[in-house]
Amino acid sequence: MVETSSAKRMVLKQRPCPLIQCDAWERALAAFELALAREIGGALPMQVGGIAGRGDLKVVRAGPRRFWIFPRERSSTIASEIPPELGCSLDLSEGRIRIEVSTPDLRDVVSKCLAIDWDRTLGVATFSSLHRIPVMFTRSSERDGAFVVPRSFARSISEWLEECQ
Amino acid sequence: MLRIDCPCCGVRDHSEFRYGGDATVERPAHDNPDLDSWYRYVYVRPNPKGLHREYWQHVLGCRQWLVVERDTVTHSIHSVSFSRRQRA
Amino acid sequence: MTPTEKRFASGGYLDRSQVLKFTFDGRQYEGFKGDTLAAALLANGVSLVGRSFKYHRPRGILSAGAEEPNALVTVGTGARREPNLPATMLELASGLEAASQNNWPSLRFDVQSVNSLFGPLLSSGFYYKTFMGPSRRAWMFYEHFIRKAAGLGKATTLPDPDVYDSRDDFTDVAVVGSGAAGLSAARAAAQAGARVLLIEQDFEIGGRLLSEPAGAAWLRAMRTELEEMANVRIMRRTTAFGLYDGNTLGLIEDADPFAGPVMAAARKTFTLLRAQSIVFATGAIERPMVFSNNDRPGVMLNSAIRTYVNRYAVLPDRNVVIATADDSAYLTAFDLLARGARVTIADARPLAEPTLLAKAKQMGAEVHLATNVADVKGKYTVTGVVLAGKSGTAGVSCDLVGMSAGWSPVLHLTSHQGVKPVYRPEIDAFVPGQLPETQFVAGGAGGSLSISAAVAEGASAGRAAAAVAGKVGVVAEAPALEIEETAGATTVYKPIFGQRKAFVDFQMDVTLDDIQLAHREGYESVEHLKRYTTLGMGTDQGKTSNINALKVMAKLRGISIPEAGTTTFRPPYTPVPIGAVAGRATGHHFRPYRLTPIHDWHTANRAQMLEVGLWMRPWFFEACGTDVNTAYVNEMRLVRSTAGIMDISTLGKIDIQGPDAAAFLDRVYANGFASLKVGRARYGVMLRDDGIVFDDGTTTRLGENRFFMTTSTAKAADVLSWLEFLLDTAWQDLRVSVSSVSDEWAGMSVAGPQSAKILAAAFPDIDFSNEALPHMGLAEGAFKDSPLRIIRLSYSGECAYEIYVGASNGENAWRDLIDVGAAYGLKPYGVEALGALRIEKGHVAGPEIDGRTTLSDLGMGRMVAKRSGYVGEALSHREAFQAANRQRLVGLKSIEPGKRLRGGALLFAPGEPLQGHGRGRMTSITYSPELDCYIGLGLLAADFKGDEVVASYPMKNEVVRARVVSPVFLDPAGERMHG
Repeated sequence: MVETSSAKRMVLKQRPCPLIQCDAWERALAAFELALAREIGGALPMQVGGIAGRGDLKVVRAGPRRFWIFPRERSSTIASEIPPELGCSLDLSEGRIRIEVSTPDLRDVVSKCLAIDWDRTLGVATFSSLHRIPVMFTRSSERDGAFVVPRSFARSISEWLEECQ
Repeated sequence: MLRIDCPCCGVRDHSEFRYGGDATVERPAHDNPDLDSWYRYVYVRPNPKGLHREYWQHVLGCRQWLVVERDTVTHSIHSVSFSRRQRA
Repeated sequence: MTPTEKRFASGGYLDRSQVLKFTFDGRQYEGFKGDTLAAALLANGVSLVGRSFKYHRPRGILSAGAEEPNALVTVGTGARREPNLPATMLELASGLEAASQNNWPSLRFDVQSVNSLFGPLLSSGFYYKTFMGPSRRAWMFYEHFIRKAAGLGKATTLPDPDVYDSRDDFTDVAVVGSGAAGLSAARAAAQAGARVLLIEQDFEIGGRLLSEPAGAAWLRAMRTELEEMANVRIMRRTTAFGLYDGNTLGLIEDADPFAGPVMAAARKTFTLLRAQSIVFATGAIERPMVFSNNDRPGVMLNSAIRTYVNRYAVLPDRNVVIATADDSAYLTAFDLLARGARVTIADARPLAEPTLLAKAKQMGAEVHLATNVADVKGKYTVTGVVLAGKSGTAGVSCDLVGMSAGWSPVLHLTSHQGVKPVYRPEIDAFVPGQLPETQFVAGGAGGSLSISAAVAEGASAGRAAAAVAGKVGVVAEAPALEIEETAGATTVYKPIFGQRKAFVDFQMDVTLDDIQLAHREGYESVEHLKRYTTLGMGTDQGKTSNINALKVMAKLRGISIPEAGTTTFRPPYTPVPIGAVAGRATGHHFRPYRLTPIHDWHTANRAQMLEVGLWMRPWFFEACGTDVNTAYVNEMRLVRSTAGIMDISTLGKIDIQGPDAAAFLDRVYANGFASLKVGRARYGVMLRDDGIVFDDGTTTRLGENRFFMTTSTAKAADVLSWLEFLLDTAWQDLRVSVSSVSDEWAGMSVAGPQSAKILAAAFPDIDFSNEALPHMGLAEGAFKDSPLRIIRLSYSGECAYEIYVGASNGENAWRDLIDVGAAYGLKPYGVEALGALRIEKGHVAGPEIDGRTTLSDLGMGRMVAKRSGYVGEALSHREAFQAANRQRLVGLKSIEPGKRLRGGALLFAPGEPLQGHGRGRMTSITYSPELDCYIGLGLLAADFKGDEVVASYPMKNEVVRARVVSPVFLDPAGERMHG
């Protein structure tokens, strides 16, 4: 974890981001959702951007047939039992970095990063573009947010976040 | 800025999307060897003034390929749907 | 009048406790917080503030708003020098340094004002007629002098030291303008439940209400109410300068000069605002009258005089002639009279509203009906006017002239999307045309000059705008606004011909004569008129001149105003600094950069880095030489003689899974993949639908239903989108999932005769024998807590391995290999050597796969000889691709010792004239240490006879002879890589 605190107001942390991606085949979606819900022990989010989950696991619907499962620790067992006739899974635990930002100016910072309506970002995962880089943004309050970004861009994005407040 | 109403992400700037060309032309089957069919699919375009169906991918969002009905005169967007036949 | 008499002791929107010192042309003055520079200059008795664009005529302050054409000043010095700022919009701040423009050696004695003696010479079309004739020689000679003489302020050439911001914003309802209509609209929309953003270009809320003393209480109440509503945001000092598709507004916001030293506060902020609905409450601009010397300092718009008197508590001068064709000027007269000024009204109309006339006379004004100003006396200040009425002309002495020729609604934004303005003769004005359902107009912008009408229209527009956003809450009645009002224009003001030096466009120095000349010479359409005379092309974009010019032209042509039409309004409404649009995306942040997992090792180990797209890649390592030409050749020798290691993490990597994955790949690759065995890799080429080669790479079969594809670095994103397109549209029945894993894996390639030994030492758990891991074989394992994939394949032609490790352990794996490999002579190499090695081996890359070449062109036609059913198949067979002169891949070898080849050189037959496009082109070149000469790949006409070409590089006048050879310069049997 890399932690930087720039100009006192913003605290920025870079963390590893364990992530399992699951894709359903179109005609098997209902059965797939049942199987996946059983595997993770809870209901799946219905809307793209919706977040569901239990304590140590968060599930985000990343597309109509795509789910992103964020476990606390990397694990090879999550979603490993999905039958191949329903869909597939892919471990993406090393390709992304979670940048956590904490600042009273979060709204202002986000307005310089993402073309998304701040009032619609609370409690959901927003898939959008930061300098034409695909990122996932979430926030838990007016001041605490997180960007899940491709690993290769993590440093560039962190610098931008620190300097655009 | 065109604002495209992605069926699963909501209204977003067109800069989150990738343009994919005319959605009215029917792609010949992959094993169709007919030169003329492919010629028409690749090159022949009506280039209408007014409503036009075109492919856009929400490449920086949900990555779904969409069919967007756009007015080429006013740039207003009349409908957006998934390119897949049915929403799962 | 002395300056102290010009400022009233009370009243206006000023904070008299804050005295601000500023300089104008080096002299120090004082003003108050709440002043604009223009107001403060007038209060200090400064009425001459600049010289005009073409004739260098002395100019003063015409207006009190964004429409100002005359009072343009340069603010700041050194790197912060900013030209052409209207003094009427500049918020006075302590320490402001302003300077007049376009004068030398001083404002009062300007040498180039002799230009005005040659007035007729510089008339419309002057440049074209004088200099653009049969020979352009004269223009070439004179241009320098003309450019120097005509112009406005000069921008700094130093780098901008300030910070700018660029941001995105969203709202339900955007209200542009905070006058009576805007405030009323914002309040109604907010009460209905919508999120409202109120945008005001001024630093003070209120618009024209700030000039209406009777409206002060109402304004205060509305402002307080809005400020207290949680769903209302107010942006002051913010101009909505453009309307774009999708109800997107471009906003530019100036920093608050009184905000204090906030760290890194942006000087200007650009906001792209997406609004569900928009209320345009942008008001109206008063038009000048056209008469001789109407540009003299001391000639102002009547509404501006009123603003200076009421908002800024400044009486510009005491002896005033009010010229008007409009009732609203009487309100200015009343306010002046109440302040003790002497007022003469010259009303162009034969009749005026009796109550206004009575009040004017009762307050002591002299009123002349059916009377126009024919001329203005005085040069640097007004000394009098000549009035022309039914009974002849008469001189009247005065020091201030006001003029009103009706009002122009500010409809610029409404027409940016192509909605044509419509002329309404009863108010003598263009108003917005039919707007989309999500846009509304209220108040002066729509032609309603009455403030009570503006309040009512604002309320209904606000309610309707909120409804667009689905907000239909109860809206309470707005407080009543009792105010003295006049009707707008009751007749159409028409400029009178025959007046000399009667300016229509003040900023561009276009006169009535110029328009008549343009008409005589056939430039009749408004678009031609504009371009021929430069009317409306100044930084003010003709806000005060367009309609008058249109009226003049309509009259000359004997047509109606709507028939003459208007020019098209385009963004921006007022100038926008490019720096603000860029925001902080400059310099280091001009674009994002992309680092491989091994990046930090490279920079710590003396790699010279190179930008490749967004990626930072090692160009070469100084371990093999301190300049690129030495280093890359040594790095090539290293790979050919021992072993080199290269960071290939930038390759596009795609995970492909699903029951139909093999069938899918069999279609997207031109060469077959269904037959690929699990655990084996294959080189593949994709075509586009039109039969041209799209990209190449290697795909490895990890399992029955799972593949690992690599693409070129440059095409990674395009390939993934293309695969998704096929699966989402034409081939929806295929159960295949494709995902980028480019960031998931670090990649490194170890190449050279020692590579197998190095890998065996580094990964003792894996069998690297030829039998266990043959060429194009796969080995899987783990490295620390990351997965590991090793694929034996070669780009350089040597025995080589691509090692993929989970990105978080990429640098660890690289370090291990470097440590273990050191004993065998392993060193890193960069992209320059990589590119050179592949040329020696005859592998095609970006320069050959350039969107114009087919498989046959690249010598790979046989790969697909017995195949069908792949993308691009049908059109790859088209006739044009089989032409005899089709350019095909060849190797080229310099036969002139010491002479280098160049990529991009054109290829000719020996003895052929070196003209035209030649018979082919050089695509890639390198020095080959193996062959000790320059070699290259090229595309050469297949019907070219002979084995020698002349490579011509006209940019450097270089001509080199080269032999045409096989593109595979090295080890054609592939013995090295098969080991």
